[in-house]
Amino acid sequence: MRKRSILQITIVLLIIHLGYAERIQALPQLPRPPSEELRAHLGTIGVVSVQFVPKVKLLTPAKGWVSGAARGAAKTEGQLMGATAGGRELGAICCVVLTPFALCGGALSGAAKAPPAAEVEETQEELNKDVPANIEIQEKMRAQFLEVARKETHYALVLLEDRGSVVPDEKLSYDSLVGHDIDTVLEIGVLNFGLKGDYTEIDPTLKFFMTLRTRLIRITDGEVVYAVTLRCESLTNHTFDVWASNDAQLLKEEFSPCYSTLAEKIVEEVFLLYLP
Amino acid sequence: MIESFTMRKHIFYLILYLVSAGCYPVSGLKPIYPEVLKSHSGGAFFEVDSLQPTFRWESFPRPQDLGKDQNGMVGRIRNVTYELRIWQAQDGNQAKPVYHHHRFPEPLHKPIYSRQRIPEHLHKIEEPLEPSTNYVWSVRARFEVDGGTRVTEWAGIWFDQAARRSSVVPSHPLYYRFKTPPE
Repeated sequence: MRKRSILQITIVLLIIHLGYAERIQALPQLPRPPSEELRAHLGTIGVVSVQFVPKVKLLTPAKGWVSGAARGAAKTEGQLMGATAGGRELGAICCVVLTPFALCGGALSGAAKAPPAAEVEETQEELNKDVPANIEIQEKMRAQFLEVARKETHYALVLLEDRGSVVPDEKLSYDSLVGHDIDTVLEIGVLNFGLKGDYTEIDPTLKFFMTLRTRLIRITDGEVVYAVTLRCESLTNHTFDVWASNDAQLLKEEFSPCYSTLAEKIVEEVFLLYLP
Repeated sequence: MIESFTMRKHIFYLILYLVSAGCYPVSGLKPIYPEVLKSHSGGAFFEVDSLQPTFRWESFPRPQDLGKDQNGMVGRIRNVTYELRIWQAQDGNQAKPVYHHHRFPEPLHKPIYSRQRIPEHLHKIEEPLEPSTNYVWSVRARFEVDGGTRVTEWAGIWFDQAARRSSVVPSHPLYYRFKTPPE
C-alpha cells in the first residue's frame, strides 16, 4: 500500500515536472553552406525580416514548493540514472527499488529549498518589463546583418520593408516580387530569446540565448534553397536574480553581441565559407 | 600465404600508427609556428621565442583543395590574404586556461590581437604580448574567386567533430595554443 502511494507521488511529481520545465531544444548540425553554383545564381537579394515578435523563454528559479519538489525529483532521477548507467543487472534492480524513495527525498529537499512563487513571479514580471519582446529586435537584427553583409560581400542586397512572415510558421509566398528585379529573398527572423540552464536545479545559473532562422528563397519558383537555424549563447552565466537586477542591465547588454555574432555567422555561412 | 597476410597486416597497422601519431584533427589552415605540441589536448602550450613572435601557417590553396576542386574553382582563386586572431587564455598563467575539458571548451571573448589582409602566410606580431602568458590563436584565408569573396574555416583542432558544425555560436574549437617567455 505504502509502495503504491510512493509510486503515485513519484508519477505525479514527474508529470508536474514535465509540465513546468521550459526546455530549449538542441539544434541540429549546420547544413553545408550553399553550393558555389547556388551562390553564383543568387542575383539581387531582397533582405526581409519577419514581422512577428520573438517568443520569450525564461527559465526561472523554481516557483514555490510544488515546482521545487518537481525539480528536486527530476534532479534525483537524473543522478540515479547517471549512477546506474555503468552498472548491470544489480544496478538496474537497485535503481528500480530505490527510485521511488530517492525521488521522494529529492522532492522534499527541492520543496524546502524553493523560493516563494510570488517572489519569482514578481521578479519575472519586472524582467519582462525591462526587456520587452518587440518587433524592434527583428529590425536591429536585420540592420546588423545588412551592415556586415555589405562590408564583407559583393552581393547586391536590397532592403525590403514589410514583407516577412507575420507568424512563425507562415508559408509565405514572394510571388509578388517577380518582375521587381529581385532574384532571391533572404529572410531573417529571431524566433525566440531568453535564459536557459539546467531545469532540474532549484535556482540554476543561466545563459542568455537568442535563436535565429535564415532562409534563402528563390523568387521564380518559391523554393527554399537554403535554411539554417542558429543560436547565440552568452559567454557568461548568472542566476535569474542577477540577470534581473539593476533593471536587467546585464541582460540588455547581451543583445548587441548576439546581433553581431549571428550576423557574422549568417554572412559567413550563406555567402563566404569555403568548405572543400 | 597466411604469413604474408599477417605481415602485410602488421605493416598496415604500423603505417597507420605512424601517420596517426603525427596527426591531429585540424580544420582550416595548419599551424607551422608556434607548433602544436603533441600533448596539446592535455593543456600543453608551446613557448614562443619572443614577445613578438612571427607566426607561420600553411599557405592557401592547400594540396587537398586541389584534390577536391569543383569545376576548376581553385585555379581561379585570386588575391589570397590571411586573417589572424589571438586571444588571451581565460585564467592567465594557469596550465589549463581556456578549457575545462577538451570536449567542452569554454567560449572565447574578444581577441586581443586581430589583423586582416595579411599578404603572406606569416606575420610578426606588431605589439609585444604579455610575458609568461598563455594565449590561443587562429587563422583563416580570405580570397576572391569569380568576383566573390570566400573564406576558409577558422583554424583549430576539433576533437569532437560533431561540434565542428554546431549551430550554436560563438563556436569554440580548441584553437592553437602558445605561451610567451618571461621578460
